[in-house]
Amino acid sequence: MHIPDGFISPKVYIPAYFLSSGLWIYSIRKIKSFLRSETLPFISALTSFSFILMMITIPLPGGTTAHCIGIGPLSILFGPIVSFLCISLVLLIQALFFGNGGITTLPVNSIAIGFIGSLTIYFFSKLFGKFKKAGVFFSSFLGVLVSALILALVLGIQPLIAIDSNGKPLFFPFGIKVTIPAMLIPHIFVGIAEGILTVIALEVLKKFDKEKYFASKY
Amino acid sequence: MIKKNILLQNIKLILYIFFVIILTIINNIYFYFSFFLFLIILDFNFFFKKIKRVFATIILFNFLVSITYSIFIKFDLEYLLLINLRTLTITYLTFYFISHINLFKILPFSKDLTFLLVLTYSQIMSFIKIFSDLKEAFKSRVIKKEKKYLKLFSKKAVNLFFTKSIYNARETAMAMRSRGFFND
Repeated sequence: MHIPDGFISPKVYIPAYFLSSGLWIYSIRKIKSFLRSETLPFISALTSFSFILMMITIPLPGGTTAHCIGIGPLSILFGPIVSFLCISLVLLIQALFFGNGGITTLPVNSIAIGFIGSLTIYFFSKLFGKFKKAGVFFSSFLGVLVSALILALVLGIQPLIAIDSNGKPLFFPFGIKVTIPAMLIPHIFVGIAEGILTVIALEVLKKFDKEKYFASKY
Repeated sequence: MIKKNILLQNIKLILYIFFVIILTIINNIYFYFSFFLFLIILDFNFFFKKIKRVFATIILFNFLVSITYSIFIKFDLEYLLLINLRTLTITYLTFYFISHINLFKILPFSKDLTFLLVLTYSQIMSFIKIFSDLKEAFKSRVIKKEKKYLKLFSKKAVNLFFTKSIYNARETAMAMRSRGFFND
C-alpha cells in the first residue's frame, strides 16, 4: 500500500513531516504510560506481526502495492496512538533497511496507514463492539480502505501540484481518476484478508489476561 | 568518545536528509546522473553489492509506473529518466547512509522508543526466518491450495508467530527490568 520514494513532491512530504512530527512527539510521550514489562513484549510482537504482513506485497499498476497492514490488533488492543507510533517504526525500518516505502514518503505513509487507519479501526471497533468478531472484521476492513483512499488522494494530486513549465508531471503522473480505483479495488480484497487476520490474531491473543497485558478490552 | 560518535552519526543523518530533499527539489536528470556517479565513486568497493539490492527494491514499481505511463499517456524519455534516476539515486543514497550509521544510536532522545525499536527489529529478524520456514513447510505439505488448508495454516502460523515472539520478548523485557528500565 505504501508509496515508494521519488513519487511525492516536497510540497506534500515536507508539510507532512511537520504534521507527523507533532503526532510522533505526542505519541512518544503517550507511549510511556503503556510501556511496562508486561505490555512491551505484546507491543513489539504485534509491531513485528504488522511488519511481516506488510512484506507480503502485490504490486499495483501505477507504482504502489497491495498488502495487509496488521494494524487491527495494535489499534484495538493498545489504541490508535500506540498503533501509530509502532506502524511508523515499521515503516521506518522498511524504508531504511529494506528499501520498501521510502524516507520522503514516510510521513505520508505513517499518517495514512498508522494514524488514520488505526483511528478508523479503533473508532469502528468501539462502535460495533457488541458484534465482536463481525465488528473487528468490519473495522479492520474499513481501516484498510480508508488508508488506501488517503494514499490514492495524495498520489492523485501530484500531477496537479508538481508540474514543470510545460505542464509535464515531475513526480507521480496519474490523477485521482486513475489512483482511486487503482488503489481501492484491490484493497477491497486486501481489506477482507486484513479483517480475517485481525480476527484470527485476536482469537490467538484471547488466552492472555487483557487487564494485565493490553491497554484496552475488546 | 561516545558523545563524539553520536554527534558524528547525527551529522551524517542531517547530511542524508539534506541530500534527499535536494534530490526531490532539483528536478534535473543531469544532476541526478552526476549525483549517482558521485555515489558510485564514494562507495566503489560495495557498489555492485548495493546496486543489486537497489534494483531488486525499485525495479517492480518503477517498471510499472514507466510502462503504464508510456502506454496510456505517452512515451516521454525525459520524464522516464527523471523519475527512474531520482528513485535510483535516493534509494542508493539510503542504503549507503544506513551502511554508515547506527540507527539505534541516532534515537537517544527517547529511551522508550529506542528500546521498542531494538526489540521490534530483533523480533522482525527472527520473524523473517520463521516466515520463510513456514512458507516452505506449507509448500512441501500441501499440493492443492484449498481454502480450509489456507485457513488452518494462517491460524497455526499466527499462533506460532505470537507464541514465539511473545516468549522471546518477555525474556528481553525481564532482562531490561533487571537492569532498571521499567519503573513498575
